[in-house]
This record gives sequence, structure tokens and C-alpha cells, in this order.
Amino acid sequence: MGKNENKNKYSIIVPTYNERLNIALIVYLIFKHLRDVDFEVIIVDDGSPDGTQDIVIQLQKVYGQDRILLRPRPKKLGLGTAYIHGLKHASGNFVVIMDADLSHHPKYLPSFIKKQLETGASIVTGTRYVKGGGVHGWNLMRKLTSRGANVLAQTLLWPGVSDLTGSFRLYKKSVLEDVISSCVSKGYVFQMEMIVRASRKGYHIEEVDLHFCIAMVCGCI
Amino acid sequence: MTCPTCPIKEREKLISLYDFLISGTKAKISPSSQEAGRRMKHIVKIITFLVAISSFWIGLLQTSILPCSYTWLLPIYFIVSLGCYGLLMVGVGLMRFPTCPQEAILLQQDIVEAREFLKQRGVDVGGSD
Repeated sequence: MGKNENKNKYSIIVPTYNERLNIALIVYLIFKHLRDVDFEVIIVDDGSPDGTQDIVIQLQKVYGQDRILLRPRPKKLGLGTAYIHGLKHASGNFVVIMDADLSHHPKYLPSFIKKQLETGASIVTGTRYVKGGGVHGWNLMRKLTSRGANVLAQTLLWPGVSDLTGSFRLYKKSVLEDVISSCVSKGYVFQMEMIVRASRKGYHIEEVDLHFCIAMVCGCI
Repeated sequence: MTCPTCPIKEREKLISLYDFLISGTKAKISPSSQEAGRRMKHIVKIITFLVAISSFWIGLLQTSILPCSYTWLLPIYFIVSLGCYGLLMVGVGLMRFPTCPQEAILLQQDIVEAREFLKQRGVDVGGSD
């Protein structure tokens, strides 16, 4: 996928809070897997006391301030508002949202981009629940909670996607702006609301199977 | 002292939540006929389903095809059946939950590689494993 073929720019929004040990690794992996793509990484840090912002400043020296944008906030203000804050600073026509804790591996980003280019989808979302996807490091309680939440939501909301609780997604910027402006929930349910609202509004949603790993830098648990 | 605008804000929240259920008309793309079906207002789908079930139940009560003592219990059976279906789906989902231990090994390799690269460039990546 050369630059000639893909003239899109991708803004990758990574909300962080106390991710000092992970942020450098995730940024390295993003740059490793997105070689031929025009992109920027927007790090929205909610005043982490562990020095996450210091690491980001070091990364800016390595990769450049035009590629890594640090957009901090004074205190922990929640996930939904972190996306809105990051979106204000996004210059790309596509936006990727992902976690900083390495549970979302950047190696899937090319698959997301490829799927979007092939299908013209407004949203490409990662799913752990189809053949080819999967998780590692989850205990029974977490699996039960995830499955229970998904079954309940699928039954009541009929969203048309298999993994509602996942948060590794690629959006057209205009679509994300439209969807995010009508969301009312706070915290992690925000992810679910965004995909359900997008489905209600009739946006074209595609899925990519991915593996979800409880990583941390000390290894998978 | 309470803020006079608070009830309005609460009302707006409720309207937004209501809109969450019924919204489906503001798409910025022209969806296919297949998608149009999915975009049918969600609340209408639910109401249609409930009306159909209720009509069937009232019909059974009126026509006495089944003894009344059985018919009166049908809603309870229906709710219990839904609960059982939910538990079954969760159970099946748990049994078939896809796992990927090999991904953990690959991720560890990536972490080691990333650490080496970043250390060379003076980025603090914490202690080694």
C-alpha cells in the first residue's frame, strides 16, 4: 500500500493515564507497522502522575513533533472527553482510536486501513468474537462479563456488529464527529454507544478480526 | 441553592437517551435497501414485537384454544424462556471463547525489540523483564 495509492491521512488518538511503561512501546509499534502511510499519533494524557508526558516528550525527539502530538489535560476527565479533545487536534481525514496498554496491537492497523479502502466503510471495528480473533490473559470472570454484556446488548440493541465492547476502531473523521456529538454516556460504555449510534444512523460498518492480549510490559498474564 | 437550569439539562439528557433508541434517519450516506431495513426505527421494532406477542396472547385468551389457566401463565413462560436463551447464549459463548496464547509470545518479542530500539535512542522504557 504505497503513498501513491493511499492519499488519506490517519490520526491515531491514544488516551493515556499512567501508561509510562507502555506508551513508548505502542508508539514504536505504530511506526513499525505503518511505514507507507501518512499518519500522526495524538496522545491525550489526563495529567498522569507517573511521568507519561515526559516519555512522550522523549518520543517527540525521536519521531518528530509533527508526527507525535502531545495534547495533555490537567486531570482525569474520562474516556469520552479524551476522544473529543483528541479529535479537535486531528488533521487526518480518518481517525483511529486505540488503547495505550498494548491490548490493541498496532500490527492490525494495516488490516483496518486495507478493509476501509476495499469496502469504503465509514467505520472499521476490531472484533475478538469471530474466527481468527481471540483473547489471551482473561480470567473466567472477565470472559463472563464480556460475553454477558455483548449478549444483552445484541438482544436489546441489534447493532449489527459482533463485538460491541471493543474499542479498537477506525472512523472517517466526519462520521466520528457526527456520532460523538450525539453521545451522552460517560466512561467505557461510551464505546458501545458510539457503535450503536453509528449503526442507527446507517453508517457502513465493517469488522476485522483481531487478538486482544492483556499485555503490560511485564508480559501477558 | 439549586441551579434553575438543572431540570432543563436533565430533560435534555432524557431526550438524548430517547433519541438513542429512535434515531435512525440522519445518515449522511445513502444506505442500500439491505441497510434501510436495519435502520427502521428501533423503538418501532420493539413495539411491533411486543404488540404481536400481546395480540397472540389476547387471541388465545379470547378463543380458549388452550385452557385459561395455561394461557394466563404464558407470559411467565415467555420471560423464563428469554432468560434461559440468554444464559444459553452466554454459556455457549464462554465455551467457544477464542483464545490465542501464541499472540502473547509474539507480543513479548515485539516488546523486547521495541525496548532495544528505544533505549538506543535515549527513551526511558523502564527496567528489563
